[in-house]
Amino acid sequence: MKSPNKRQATILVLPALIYLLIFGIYPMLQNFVLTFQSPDINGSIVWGISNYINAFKIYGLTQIFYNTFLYTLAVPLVDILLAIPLATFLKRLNKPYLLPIVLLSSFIPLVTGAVMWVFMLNPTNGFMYYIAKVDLFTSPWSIVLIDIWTSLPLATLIIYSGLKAIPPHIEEAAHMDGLIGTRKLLQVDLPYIKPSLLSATVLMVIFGSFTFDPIYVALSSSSPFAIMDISYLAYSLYETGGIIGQGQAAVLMTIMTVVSTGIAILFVRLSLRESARSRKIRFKFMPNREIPRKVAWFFVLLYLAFILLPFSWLVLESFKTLSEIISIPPVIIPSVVTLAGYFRSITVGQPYFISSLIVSLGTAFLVFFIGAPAAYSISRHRTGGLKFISLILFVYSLPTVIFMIPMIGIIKSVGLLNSWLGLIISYPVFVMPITIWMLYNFYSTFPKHLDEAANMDGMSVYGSFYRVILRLSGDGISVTLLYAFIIAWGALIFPLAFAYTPFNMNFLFPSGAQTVTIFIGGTIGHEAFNYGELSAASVISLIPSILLIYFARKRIDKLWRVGGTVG
Amino acid sequence: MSSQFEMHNIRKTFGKFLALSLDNLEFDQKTYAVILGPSGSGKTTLLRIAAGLESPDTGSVVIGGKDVTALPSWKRSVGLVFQNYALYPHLTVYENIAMPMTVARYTNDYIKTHVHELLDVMELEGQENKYPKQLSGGQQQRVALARALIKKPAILLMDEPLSNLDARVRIDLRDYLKETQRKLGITAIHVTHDQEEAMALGDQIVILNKALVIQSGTPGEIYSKPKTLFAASFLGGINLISSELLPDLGIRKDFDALGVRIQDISLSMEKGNTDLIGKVINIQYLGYQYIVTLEFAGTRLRVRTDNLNGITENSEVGLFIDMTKIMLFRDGNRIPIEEEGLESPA
Repeated sequence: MKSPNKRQATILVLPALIYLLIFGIYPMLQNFVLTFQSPDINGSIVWGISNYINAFKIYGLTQIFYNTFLYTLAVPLVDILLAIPLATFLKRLNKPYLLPIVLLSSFIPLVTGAVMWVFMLNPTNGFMYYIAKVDLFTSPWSIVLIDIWTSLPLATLIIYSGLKAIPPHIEEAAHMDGLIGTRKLLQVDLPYIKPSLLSATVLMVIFGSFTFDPIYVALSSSSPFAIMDISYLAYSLYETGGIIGQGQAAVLMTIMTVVSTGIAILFVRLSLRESARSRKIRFKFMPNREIPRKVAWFFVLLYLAFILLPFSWLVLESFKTLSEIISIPPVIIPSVVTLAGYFRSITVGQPYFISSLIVSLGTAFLVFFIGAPAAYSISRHRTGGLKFISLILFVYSLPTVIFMIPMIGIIKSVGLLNSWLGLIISYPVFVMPITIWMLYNFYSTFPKHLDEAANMDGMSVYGSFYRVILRLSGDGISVTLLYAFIIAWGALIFPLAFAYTPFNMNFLFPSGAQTVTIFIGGTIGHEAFNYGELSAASVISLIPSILLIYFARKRIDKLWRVGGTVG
Repeated sequence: MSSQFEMHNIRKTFGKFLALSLDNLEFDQKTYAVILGPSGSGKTTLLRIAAGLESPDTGSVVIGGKDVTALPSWKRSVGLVFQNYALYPHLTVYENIAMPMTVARYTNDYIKTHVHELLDVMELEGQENKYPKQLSGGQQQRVALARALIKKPAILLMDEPLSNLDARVRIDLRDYLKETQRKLGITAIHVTHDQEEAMALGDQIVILNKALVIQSGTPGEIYSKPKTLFAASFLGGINLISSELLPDLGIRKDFDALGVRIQDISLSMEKGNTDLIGKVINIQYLGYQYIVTLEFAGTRLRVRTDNLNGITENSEVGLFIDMTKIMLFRDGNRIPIEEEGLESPA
């Protein structure tokens, strides 16, 4: 017989579990079913494997596969190789204000980041004019560059958190043994933070292999097949290919699901393992000397230049007049500062901003109400054991695009297509897993005696959660909620698929739910000369991210701890 | 014997907090020195300054006649055993012990011989391929000790090395530490808050309190001739009685407190002609002797005795204090029993 505590703990998890089964697992299976359905000449459904055959006849598939592999391999590799020195330098310099600045590019909407790069790399109107007058977007390496710029800070954050979590006595033991500098990094630090390194790598693999947003933005200034990957192909097949495209898209999504399941299994095992040990790597060349601070500063400034340059260019663009935006050679510092772009983007973009704001708020709260009790229950009461938290990490590692087609069916059936509510109920599938994981880690550090005391005082599991734990978890929850908000704020695939008109500005009978990411990402290149408006809108879209980083700056490195949290 | 370890005019502050201030401290070769003090007394700071993990604001550290104040830890000829051992979790026992030597670029054969020598001394043969997690607390402690000793340092530093072990292992390891120190002929500095451990191990004990050295000497000196009230009470086993509670004992009267060790009071059911009468509250039997707790003049006293002679709980007993062994304290400092000269302070 289950104890009442156990039963209540289970009930706390149920909403999240049911949600993930409907919106996470069902679409996966539904995709698989769809792969066997294709229309005959009369338009009625026939069952067969023609989708599989036709999917592999798609024009340009070789290039698309090549691009996908490139993104999957190059992005994590370069990320990790760049993140280890950066994290080490940040720890060496120990300036608390550096980390939040470095993190900037990982916490903004992907679309906004891509827009910055498209502006900057424009060989006639962008900063690129002064470097080399070539169009990088003819090559998939342009997307690799944007991906690295977007994900490097996150990789750095995970590694940095690991380095910061090395206990001081280990640091001192290394000091007593005479281990310093690079040698200490290779012999003590990196082996010690192996779980963090591995999770960072897997996260970057997931990130690179499902690249979508930069492709969507950059396609306007690129040749069609140069940069496309499977994720994007699946989306465009569905978007333009009608019911035939849907079946072939489902094939690609099923392939992605299988591949990402493999990655996910790796990810789950790495994230939950207590400590890792294996063969030691011996390096011949291990300078046993501390990196001089000046050298560390030099490299950190290089990194900062890389991270901040696109931001600066965007901000400069947003204040330029039209003639200066399109002048060749491009103007760097605007001679006249104009706010016209901001006024126009606020007037024209108003319905988009309103939709994004409402949908992101709604999502953050939905995620909070479903996710926080679940995170608490699995962290404190081990509900579902490793199974539930594994499910969370599994759904987290699936590419968002694979949920798209079945979810349209779900949302249509409840009549919520092209509405705020439709987006709010669908977003948690990619927002909730990461927030539950963060809160799970947060509650793992909570003193256990609080619950025990509440229990002794006669409170049930609900009571102790709502009356004791929630009251004490303000900082963890606010940061997590804000993070949930900005993931929702930056979402692109779902609004593209589930909304087709902007909000009609009628609060009594609202309809239309296109978001600011569509406003920004969808207008570039399509309407030639509104770059001022576009860049201003992009700057505005950064506000929630900057707020998050500002509020979370003191504890941001603690939310990403990995390894050793179970057991 | 020459002095192997010296500290001169050391001062260390953290912000406004004075962590350590000492004029002069010297330990001879092959001494087992114990730094004893409550938490926050500056004992760990002292050890960390000796190890080179903290640098003092002023003053110098001299090891083997050489000023090492400006040298980093690994050039100081010191080995440090951390309170929680600080073993590298990703390395085996062998690799942990060998680490200081591999950094110093000794040849593999040389390292191997020395690690195995120490594994033998530490009774860890056969454990060398295990990871720290697979060892017991006592074994981890010995690995940490081996790592600290591998480079044959002049000074072995130990920060509360026994505090994370359970009581039985602690006593065993106590003997072991002293034997190892004697066998290797090394100078050891051991930091602890446990007075019993200090008495059992130390050739020389230094008592610290509030960043200052209170007293330094052999265990015998410190126990029988504490210079201050703090030294006397921190070593334990003493009764402190406020002068106001005492009847005239025929000694000087300008003291604040009288101290008498628990074995220097005897009890008897025969009250005889003593004015000192106490009521027995509690009797603890320790296997080889008794600790009797009494209520006396509104305060509590403890007395150690080998046999009870019919004393039971709630009985009224006479107290007989060995007046040659009492200690008198005024303003926290010890004063002689007899007044010297007539113009004593009023």
